[in-house]
Amino acid sequence: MECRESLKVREFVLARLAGESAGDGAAALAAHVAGCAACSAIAADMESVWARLGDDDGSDLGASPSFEARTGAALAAEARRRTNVRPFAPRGAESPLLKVAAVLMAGVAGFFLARASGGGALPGSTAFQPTPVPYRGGENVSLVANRTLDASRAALDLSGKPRLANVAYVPADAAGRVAVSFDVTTRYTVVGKPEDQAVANLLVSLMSGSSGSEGAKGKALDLVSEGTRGGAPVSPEIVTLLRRTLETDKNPGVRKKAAEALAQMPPTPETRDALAAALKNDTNPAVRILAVEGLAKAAAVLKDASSIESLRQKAADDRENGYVRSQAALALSKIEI
Amino acid sequence: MEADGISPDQEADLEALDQIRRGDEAGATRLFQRWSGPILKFTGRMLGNAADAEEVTQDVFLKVIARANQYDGRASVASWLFAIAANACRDRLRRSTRRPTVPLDAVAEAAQPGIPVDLRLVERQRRAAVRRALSRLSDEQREVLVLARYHGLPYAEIARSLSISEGAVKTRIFRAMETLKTLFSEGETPWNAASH
Repeated sequence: MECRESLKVREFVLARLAGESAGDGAAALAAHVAGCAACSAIAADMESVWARLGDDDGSDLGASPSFEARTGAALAAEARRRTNVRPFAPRGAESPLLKVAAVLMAGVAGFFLARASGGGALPGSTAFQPTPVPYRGGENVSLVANRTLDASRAALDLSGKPRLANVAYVPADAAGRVAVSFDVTTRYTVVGKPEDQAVANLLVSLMSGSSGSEGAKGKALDLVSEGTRGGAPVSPEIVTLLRRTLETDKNPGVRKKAAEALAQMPPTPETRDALAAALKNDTNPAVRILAVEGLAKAAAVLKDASSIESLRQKAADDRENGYVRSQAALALSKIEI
Repeated sequence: MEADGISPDQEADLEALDQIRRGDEAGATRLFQRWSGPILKFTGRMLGNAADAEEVTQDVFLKVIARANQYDGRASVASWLFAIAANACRDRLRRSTRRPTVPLDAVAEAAQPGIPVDLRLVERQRRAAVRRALSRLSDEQREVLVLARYHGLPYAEIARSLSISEGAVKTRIFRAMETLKTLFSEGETPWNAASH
């Protein structure tokens, strides 16, 4: 008959045989085994099996005569092979102190650099008091510091043509101020009117592709268009750049935006010439239609013959797209001289 | 702990491992000289074939060279070596369709002068019977029992080596003992039975 202590006894006996600690109740269990016939039998069985295993003394499991020589040669070959491989430097052996030293040095160097550079203005910029951009959920979130420049007070030196990344635009507010944000090493936000020199420089830089992104370039053109829609004066640099964009950009969408911006500006001889050239040479009809609109406006404002002549030639050009011709004719009909 | 048990001079083993990490082949030689015997016995009992045991044991020490940087010090170097050996045996057994067997001709040992031939024969038969019984255990039960019974590894070291709990070690040993009791009691002359 099985004793209710049999499980504990088996564990106790096995632990004793394996040289493990039998635990706190060892003495009590030993006493129980001595006085319980069933548990004595269990213990005897287990001790018998354990002892029987000793019949296998492993004396036959030695190495064959050639084993040591073979394995020794294999180990030496493997060790030599591995010495030709760049040894793995275990992590942490030298790292803690060096890492702390590196962090301290970087921190000290950063502190003095920050002091020397006067608070992180762009190289060449007029010093200004940076204003943190307040975080508003989902907007302008950047892992780098944010600095805001007031375009009416600070110049922006982009002569080094830095790459402007992550460009974002905020349309004009009631005061006509737009905002353009970008990352260089710090995230900057330039706030001001499109005619402000800092904003103009920035837009020129973006339109000339400093962001490396067609989207950013297009948005810069949109901002220029938006800013010039109300008839605000435009910097000559922007006009020059728009003209160059119209002449050289391979993307018809970008050229269309440039034409739109030029067409919406207060007409000048420069904008007129740029639009006339586009009407004559651009391969995209949408660009040419925008040029028609701009030239019609220029003809009305400037009252010059060259704008009217450009439109007249286009309206009479039988190789031109019919819609462009009709638009040119319509524009001519509306010009009041 | 038995004659081929573990009494690791951990410091010496760690020095040998350091030598291996530095590309000094003497470290591998030291570890091999120190541990090849116990590992060979372990693999022999696990695989039941002397040639396989030697091959796997050699692989174990080649792996030690390759993995010297992976030793993390959580267990003794000896336990780490047995862990590598246990894995290697499992791999070998998985690849092999046959179960480990211990034919009598595989347990022939060198003649021992001074011991009568009939006594040697009895010892050999007893050993073969035990080896046969061991071969009928599951691989999991056999490896923990061999490590505990023949190599004297504590439960905790076995658990670390095989990445199992101490409870699992106890359970496997206990079940192995129950199976062996049955096998040993099935016939008092099991060594006369043909190798299965």
